[in-house]
Amino acid sequence: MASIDQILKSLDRLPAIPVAVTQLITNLCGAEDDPAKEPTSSIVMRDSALSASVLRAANSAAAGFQMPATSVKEALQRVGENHLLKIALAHASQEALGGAVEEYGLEEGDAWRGALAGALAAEEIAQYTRKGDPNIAFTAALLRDIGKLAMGLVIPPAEVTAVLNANCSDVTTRERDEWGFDHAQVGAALGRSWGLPEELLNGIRFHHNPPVDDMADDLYDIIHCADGIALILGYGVGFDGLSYSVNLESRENLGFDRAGFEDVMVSVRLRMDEFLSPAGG
Amino acid sequence: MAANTSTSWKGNRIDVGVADMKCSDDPIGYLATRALGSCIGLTAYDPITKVGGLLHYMLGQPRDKDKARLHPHMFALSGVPALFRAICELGGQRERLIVCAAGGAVILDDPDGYSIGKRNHAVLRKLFWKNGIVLHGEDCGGSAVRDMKLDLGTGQVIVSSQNEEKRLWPVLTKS
Repeated sequence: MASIDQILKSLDRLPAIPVAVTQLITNLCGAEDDPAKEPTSSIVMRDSALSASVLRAANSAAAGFQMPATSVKEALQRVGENHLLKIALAHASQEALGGAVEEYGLEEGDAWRGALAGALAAEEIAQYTRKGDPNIAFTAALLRDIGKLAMGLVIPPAEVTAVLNANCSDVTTRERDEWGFDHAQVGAALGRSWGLPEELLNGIRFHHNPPVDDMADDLYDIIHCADGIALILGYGVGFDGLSYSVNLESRENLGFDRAGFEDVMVSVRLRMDEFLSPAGG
Repeated sequence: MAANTSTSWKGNRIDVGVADMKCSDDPIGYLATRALGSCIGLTAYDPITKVGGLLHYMLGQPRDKDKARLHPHMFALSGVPALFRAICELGGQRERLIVCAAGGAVILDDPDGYSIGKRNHAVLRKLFWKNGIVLHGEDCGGSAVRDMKLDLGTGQVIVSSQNEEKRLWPVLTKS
């Protein structure tokens, strides 16, 4: 039986990742002295649409200034490098994640808003629990559902929708029962074809089913819980609804209690405005 | 249950976001909210003055009172009174309001009682019971994500999920 990587390689076309996204990931998640790093403002300014989105979001984030920032460099000074990187990465990823994914019942923008809500939740959980790297958690959660972009290429879209609408058990279990793999595994394979680092690939692969063996890692538990929060808030949810499980073990491993869960929900909702408005998404 | 509706939903659409509330007396308008997961959408409508409102709240009650003060529509305990007040300010009367709820879905495997959706629904029921408010129609629970619309001209409330529509109000009667 062909592996998912082999199946993806056999396809005529695959969803692409914008160059700016890989560069921003290197800046956000790479080592301090990584020679591949380029100033974030330079990456952003190469793309006028991205610059405009980043400026809008940065001005929303840096409330309190009487005059809005009019350049990316000025915005950088106001919100800081790390924050600007996340804004830029989120908006740069919109090119890849912003379209409709009809077989999953996702209208235009739904998948991206789901990605963003999960990314913000992951960052908040990492900070709340003081576990995991918030930057890596943000990035892995942002990309966690890229497999949905490719599922309709690997499997006839109508079949994907039919399995989602079966509505009787955990979606990833249904997908694996039907085809031998789920969208999280397809996402990891797609991420590998994009050259993403292993840590992010595992974050994508395990976002619905974090391992409990020697592969276990706080990062995967964080992304798993973050996915649950995005689902509960209704961001990026289509035909699959809330038909997923959120493991008790993951929450216990992280010490992520109900109070934390609700606090993160509130923070995510408020930060979505910052990233999306005005006229941001 | 598929709805056989008379509403075309071609009027002025007024979108209600997450943790948001809108009220209107636009007779050719309709209020709409999307993607109710564990959140609950609550509509209230006065059929005489044709004033209606839609609240999309996230949680039953705040852990931090400042959050409820700053973002009242995020929580049932602050959002529901705000909805009723806003409708009455536009000419609606509380005793005439037709009230419907949808949402409150739950994640499949939630063993230790986080159950945000169930809690959201329970807080609403308790709030209504204490204040003598009747819930005229509801579609809550399960694991489906729902969209909800209130037609301001007719008071019709439609909930859709996974390509299926349900009419919560007026209640369908058997012929």
